[in-house]
Amino acid sequence: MPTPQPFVQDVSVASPELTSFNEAQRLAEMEKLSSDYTPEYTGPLVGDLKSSRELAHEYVGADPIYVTKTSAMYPAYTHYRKIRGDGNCAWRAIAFGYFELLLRSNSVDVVNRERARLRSLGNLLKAADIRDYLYEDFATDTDSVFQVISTSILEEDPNAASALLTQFNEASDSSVAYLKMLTSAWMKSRPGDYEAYLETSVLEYCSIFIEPFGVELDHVGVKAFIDCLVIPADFRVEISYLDRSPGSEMNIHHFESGENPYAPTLRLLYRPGHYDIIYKAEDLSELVPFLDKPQASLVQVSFMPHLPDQFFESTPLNFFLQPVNSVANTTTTSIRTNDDRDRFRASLFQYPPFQPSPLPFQTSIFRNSAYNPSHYQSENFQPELYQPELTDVSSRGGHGSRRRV
Amino acid sequence: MSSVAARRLLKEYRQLVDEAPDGITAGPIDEDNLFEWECLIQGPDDTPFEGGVFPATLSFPKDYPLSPPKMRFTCEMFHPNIYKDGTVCISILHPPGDDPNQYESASERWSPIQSVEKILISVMSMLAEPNDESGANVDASKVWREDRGGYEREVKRCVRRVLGIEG
Repeated sequence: MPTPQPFVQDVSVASPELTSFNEAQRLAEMEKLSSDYTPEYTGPLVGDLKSSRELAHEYVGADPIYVTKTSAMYPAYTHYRKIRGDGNCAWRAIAFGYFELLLRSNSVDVVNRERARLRSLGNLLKAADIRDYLYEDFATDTDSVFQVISTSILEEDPNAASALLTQFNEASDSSVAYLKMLTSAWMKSRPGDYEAYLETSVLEYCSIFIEPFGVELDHVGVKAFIDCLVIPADFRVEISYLDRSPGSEMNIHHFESGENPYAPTLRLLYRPGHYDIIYKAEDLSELVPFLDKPQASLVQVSFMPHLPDQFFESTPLNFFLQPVNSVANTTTTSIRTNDDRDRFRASLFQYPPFQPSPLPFQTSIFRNSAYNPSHYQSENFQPELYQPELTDVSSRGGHGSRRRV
Repeated sequence: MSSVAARRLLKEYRQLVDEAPDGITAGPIDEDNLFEWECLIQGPDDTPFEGGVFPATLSFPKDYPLSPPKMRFTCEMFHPNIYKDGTVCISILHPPGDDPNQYESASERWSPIQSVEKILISVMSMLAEPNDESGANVDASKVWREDRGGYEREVKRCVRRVLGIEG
């Protein structure tokens, strides 16, 4: 039996003022207790790749709307990755998805470009007068993830995906802390882009919702984070909302620069208060042969149900009018090919004429080095890449297919 | 994670030694344990705390600086925002995720870009200007609000005790 609460007895003897006084003291102490409480979280920060059918199982007994929506997920989204729900899930999901796309790009140049971009974003922190000893450790830990990715790509490590997962889980807190600082600095450097969506000033918003660790990210914050980290890397983001809104399928929100409709896509699943990462079959497909095991199950015989939505969003006409240019453009953007488009060749046999891709570096030092595949000393010597006319790229300005270097 | 915390604490300690802010001294109690610090805060001038030097401890969590440290005065204090056991209640020390709306909108919150130095400076200005909204010590809040003279007398008594003038 709990003893009767003392303040109840006090009522008869104490003045009403004193009672409210004790009450206030009691409340203040309870508040202190509750603010000291931290819940226990389990599971890895970022989990392994799982079949999205497991998600449907979770919802078998739930509201019919959830059942319909989760069971409609399966053929379109084959896999998902669970993120720990500790208030940082949006940060971890977007950051991990970003690093994963970098790995899937399978291009050290892309990784290095992004690594350099994040480093230069670090200058925003200096400009904001934050002492470097307050963030340099976080920056170093974030850099370690880039390091693991480029090493994996260079060595064609068959375990690249799990190496990234391990490294990210290790550096995740630091990376999130660092990316929060960068996002905050990003928002403060362009308040006009966000102010209209906020009830407070950008400065205050950042100090309440962006900078502190473990605070859930709201929609404006998600947009800012994506603007800062993902969009400039020429990736797209799709957020599928799994909620009780009517309809048999999830609503999808897109974030993209609009410049490259075929940009690789980071897909997030949003359930009120929580983000996970989801994947379509093509996200995990053979693009990078040495990655990930679920390949075998991903062979798609019929592609009709998987028409990429982005195909309908922009410029299919351009594509058909200038097949050679646009196809050449994709191959030049990066080594990764985007097979979505190739399915829409007018004829199966109409392959684009051979168009050697301009190499990412065109300095004479590079051209004369063994890193140039058209150099006879190169490990991957490809004589057909030899392009003497490229020695003077600038004079060819205006030719669309060559400018993206 | 704790190595990140230790590295960071060491850097902050060096920084505080190299560029000590006015009226503040702080550092680990034992060099083998970077997670427990002792600090001394001078009572701000032109306040009843003037002349006092108040000892306090800072306990850092293993995931510092993601979470803030806890601060506790080890001497007797009479202040609306300091609990009777000496624990300091100030927005910059609240763990992230607390409902932010219960505080003044302009108040500073904990985030990894804050530092021990920022905390101690905030506590110093809290001594000078109590925050009426968070009543950690309800008696002190009430006296501070209703009887400023009585409040100042109580505080000055604390100052004398911490200086050892009054037992």
